[in-house]
Amino acid sequence: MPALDPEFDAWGSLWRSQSRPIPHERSEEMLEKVKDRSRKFDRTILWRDAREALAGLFVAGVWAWVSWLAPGWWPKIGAAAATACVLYVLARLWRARRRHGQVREDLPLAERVRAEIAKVEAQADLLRTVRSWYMTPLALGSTIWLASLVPAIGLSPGLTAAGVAAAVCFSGVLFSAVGWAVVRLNDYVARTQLDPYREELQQLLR
Amino acid sequence: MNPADLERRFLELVERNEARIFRICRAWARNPADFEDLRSEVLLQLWRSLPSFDGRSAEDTWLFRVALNVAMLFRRRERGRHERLDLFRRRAPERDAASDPSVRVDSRDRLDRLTAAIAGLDPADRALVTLQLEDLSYAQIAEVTGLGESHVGVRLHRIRKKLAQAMAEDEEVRDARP
Repeated sequence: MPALDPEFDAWGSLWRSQSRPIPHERSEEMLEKVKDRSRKFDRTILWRDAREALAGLFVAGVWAWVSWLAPGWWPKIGAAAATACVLYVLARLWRARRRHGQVREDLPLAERVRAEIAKVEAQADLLRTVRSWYMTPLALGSTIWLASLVPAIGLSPGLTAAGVAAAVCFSGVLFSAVGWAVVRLNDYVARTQLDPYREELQQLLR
Repeated sequence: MNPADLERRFLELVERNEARIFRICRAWARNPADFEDLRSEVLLQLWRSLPSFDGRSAEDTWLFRVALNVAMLFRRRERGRHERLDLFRRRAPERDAASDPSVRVDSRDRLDRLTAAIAGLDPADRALVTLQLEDLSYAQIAEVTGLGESHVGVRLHRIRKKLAQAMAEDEEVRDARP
């Protein structure tokens, strides 16, 4: 290494003269605290993943149940398609989590920052494309199920053409309203939180 | 590695590098509460990363990687750089006098100024200068950061100039005070 200026050498000595962490806790106490935090961290991740999976599986289960009880083959196929769409959403979330979830902290700094940028970009992409991978499959699944009820009109005593038409209109309006809100909210989060963070990370690499 | 070995290895690692961890946290935290949070986070990530430490890099290189990765990303919670700097300048003397008896009174002022000047640097520059103040060679700094050795040299030359300028300006402001 080339010789540094004496002033910087003096700063280095001064810097390294700070050597006593205050307050100084006992090693065993520190270890217990660290282990406790680590366990809490693992539990938090586990519960977050479990909540997400359970919520998805619950919805998929409801559709599977509807499929089981549905009158005739077409409604059964429609509800099964909806189940498949919910499972697709779950799988998409799970894959994104697997690919970018845990980044090693002992990577060289530049590599770690690049990994963080990739993670943030994947999150932003997931939020921005929510229409295609989340809203569309769910809308598609429900539409297939509702459409599949049409051939069953007349077979089931409670099922009338007017009832199915009303359900289609209602679900159309509901999906449009909820979909619009979900897309706007996701876009807002990506724009106001993830984009500035990505920019901040990119600055680190310049 | 069995749990007892892991615990022993972790305690030895922290004991050997306590001062380094302290100094990194000091360079990156803007107040005492931040310092404690950052130190806990660094210790947590050292503990979680230790099982995957395979000895291919030197222990201190590995430690600096973990600590600086945590410190650099810890800063996302903070606000604008200028606000950070102002806060740091306001709080630094109060914190140092109370919390760091290892540094002699006549050195505290210089250390405060140095710390404030480091706090004014961009995060990447701050990481580089922190490593050089820790007496790492350009090759070691390159290994920690993942940058090329010559790139490290060029950048550090520029950062040292910036740091010297900040220190000189601070001195002028102090001298001008009645």
